[in-house]
Formats: sequence, C-alpha cells, structure tokens
Amino acid sequence: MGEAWIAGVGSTKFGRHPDRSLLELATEAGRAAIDDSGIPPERIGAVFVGNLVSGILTGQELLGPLVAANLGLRHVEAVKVEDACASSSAGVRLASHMVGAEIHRAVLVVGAERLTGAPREVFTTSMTAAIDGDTEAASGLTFPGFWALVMRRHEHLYGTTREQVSAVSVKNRGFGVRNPLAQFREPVTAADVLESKPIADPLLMLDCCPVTDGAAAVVVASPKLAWRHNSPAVRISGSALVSGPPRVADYDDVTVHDGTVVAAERVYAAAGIGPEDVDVAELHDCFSIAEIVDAEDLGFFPKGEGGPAIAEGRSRTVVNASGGLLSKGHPTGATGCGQLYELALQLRDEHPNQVPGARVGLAHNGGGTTAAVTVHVLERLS
Amino acid sequence: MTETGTRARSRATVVTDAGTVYSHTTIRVAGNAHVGEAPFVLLLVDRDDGGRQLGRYRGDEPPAIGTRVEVVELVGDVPVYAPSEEGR
Repeated sequence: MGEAWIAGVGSTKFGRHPDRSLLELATEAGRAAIDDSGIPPERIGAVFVGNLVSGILTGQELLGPLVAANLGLRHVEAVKVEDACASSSAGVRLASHMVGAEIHRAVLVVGAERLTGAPREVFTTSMTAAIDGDTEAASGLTFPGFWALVMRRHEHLYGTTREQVSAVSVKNRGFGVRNPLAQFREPVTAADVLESKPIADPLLMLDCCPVTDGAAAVVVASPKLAWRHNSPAVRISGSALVSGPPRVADYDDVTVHDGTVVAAERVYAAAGIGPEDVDVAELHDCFSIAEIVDAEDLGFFPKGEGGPAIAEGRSRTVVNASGGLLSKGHPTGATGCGQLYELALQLRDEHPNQVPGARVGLAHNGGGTTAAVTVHVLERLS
Repeated sequence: MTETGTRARSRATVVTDAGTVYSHTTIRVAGNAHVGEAPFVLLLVDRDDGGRQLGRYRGDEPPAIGTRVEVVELVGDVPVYAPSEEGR
C-alpha cells in the first residue's frame, strides 16, 4: 500500500446554522478543503459524505451525488458513509484505502450534519438510531445514559470523582474560548458544572456536548499529487476503523472500550510510535467521562488513572486543544473530519491554540456505544 | 408469536431471573418513546445465568452496585427489576 496524505482541509463554523441547509454547509466545507489543497477538482475520483441522521431530521438523502454535483464534480464515485458519530472519519479510512491502493489519486471526504431546531425529544430519538433497536433502545437507554452507566462503574472501580470529571469540561471549555469555529466560546467553572441540570445521573448538562450544526472536509491524496500541487499536506501514518460492542450489555467491562484499544494498537504499530510520542490529540469527548476513558484506552494513562491525571494536568499530550466536542460542538457525522481539520492546523503551525512544535497528532472518533471507532495518527512532513 | 406464547415466557422468566447490579443510572431526559416515563432508573445487571442485561428498576432510588435484584415483570422484552426476596 502506498501512503495517503491529507492534502487540504476545510470547515464551517460549528454551532447553530438555522438558515443554512445541510447541503450548503457540506458544500462550503468541501470547497474550502479542495481550495486549501490546491489540487484541481477534476483530479478527485471519489466523494464520501459522512452523515448520521439527515434522513430522519431533514428528510434529505442522496448526499454523495448531491455534494459532488454541488462542488462541480461529475462522474465520480459518490456515496454516503454512516457509522454513527464516526461517520466521516470512517470515510477518511475508506479514502486512505483507495488512495493507498492507487484506485484514486485524490478522494474528498465531507462530514455534515444539521441537528439544531428539532424538539429535544425528537433529537434524542434520532440519536437512539445508533442504539440497537431490537434490544436496548426499548429500555429507554440514551447516549447520556450509556456514558452514565460507564461513569458509575468507573467511580466504583477506580474512585474517580465528580471533581475529576468536571475538570474535563472546565479544560475543554477553556480551550474553546480561542477557537473561532467553536460553538461555546465562554469558559465554565467546576461550580457551573455542578450546578447544571441533571441529564442522566451522574451526568449533568455541562458534562454533555451540545447539539450542533456544521460541516468539515478533508482531501486525502497521494504524496505525488500533493507534492505536485504544493499542498499544505500532513501524512496519515496510521489509520484504523474497528467495530466494538454495539450494546452496553455486550461489554466485558464498560470502563474498557475494546474498539479503541484495538484501533490504538493498530495505528501505533502502523506509525511505529507509542502513546508517549503523541504531541496533540483530539479525543471523542461527547461526555466529560468519555475523555477519561478514551485517554486510558489509548494508553495515555493506565486504566483508572485518567481522572486524577487530567484533573492535575499530568498529561504529556495536549488533549482537545480545539475545545473538543464539549466546546467546539458535536455535529455527529461531521465530527471526525472536524477533528482531522484541527490536527492538520496543529501540524501546520496554524492553530489558534497552537501546541509549539507539535509533530505527531492523534484523532479518536467513536460512534454509538463506542461500537464504531476510528483512530488516525497524523504527522508533520519534515 | 401468539399472546399465549408471550405470557408463558414471561411467567417462566419471572420465577428464575435474579442477579447483581453492575451499574445504574437515572434517565432524566428521555427520547420520544419514553418521554412521559422520565425520570426512570436503568440497571445493568449481571444475571445469575451468566449474561448481562439492561433493564428498568421498580423504584425512584437506584440500588447500589452489588445489590441483589430479581425480575418482577417483563414489559415487552424489557425486564423490570426489584430488590431480591432473598435479600429482604
């Protein structure tokens, strides 16, 4: 397999876009990524559009051909990719296969989602499309409920505290202040978290990512094509898409998300690195407790030590400098490409919360009950 | 399945299903299908027969992890747990 690089990135602001359609957002991000890459559009051979609930909430499907046509791309392989909240990063994984196998020299991946404006119950119901409808959805399980079950068990096994979990929200909301693309630009305190409304005990409102509209896109291209067009490229040195337990009852231990563990092993082996080499990471902090579990499963800390380590700032890796899902927002199908957008800027020295000298970045994106997991390792080109 | 078949299965399950609380949560914001039921308690239970299962709890205050519970009702396929008789 040949290498695949991220040759260009683009993103809309994440937040509320009541006056813009899903396709307008997707087209804006896709065009920005193509322009950023400098690669002529006619060299793009395929378009993947990551999306979770467009059919349910907006009634719009056929996203692949529509986004391709809106971007002026004709006769390309265009298809929607759905893997819950990991949809667009799954698209990047597929794109890296296509480019690595020299099927196409360049593939555009766009993640797009329109979620705001629906009544709360309708939104919550649409998200449960990513819970097994034959079993656990019938009990009334929601995604805050899933992570609440994880948090209770994490507290029980490792003594993780409310203060440690709140520290994740405080940290990520702090990063969001300087990210112009973030939905939330105001910091919060631990007291704010504690006083926020209960959603699924012990999770509170400020433990939860917001409801977000947005789109982000990346151009995955061969090194040769990126080189020829002087693209501001970064290398994909590891890429994994791994299925995990699609039901909470399927976990051996709900505090160990084995899809993440296996994906991490694969990308570290492919990239020839370990967790200690990662300078900057975007982790799937859909809920504050999730960042703790993710960081442990990726090997940043031993299992059970994520809470105190994050609360005391003992992480070597700077995690969620974008503000994460908690602050930047979580437009489900767009989130994976949004994370790669943020990492690419870090490795190009262009990020509003720049980590000085960052050379290695890692993105972790999870869908459903961490049932669809992608991990990507990106490296600065020397 | 027929109505009779479902009831027969329910009765058998009620007699035998017991287990230990593995984790719990109280859902306060529910989806459309359950919005009138919130708040409600969900339990993840390690069943004595070896499986783990998600179910509801009959009560407002969730039992601590490790509490013995048993199925007292099936709503559709969803078990409803209460504290086990053996523990009272």
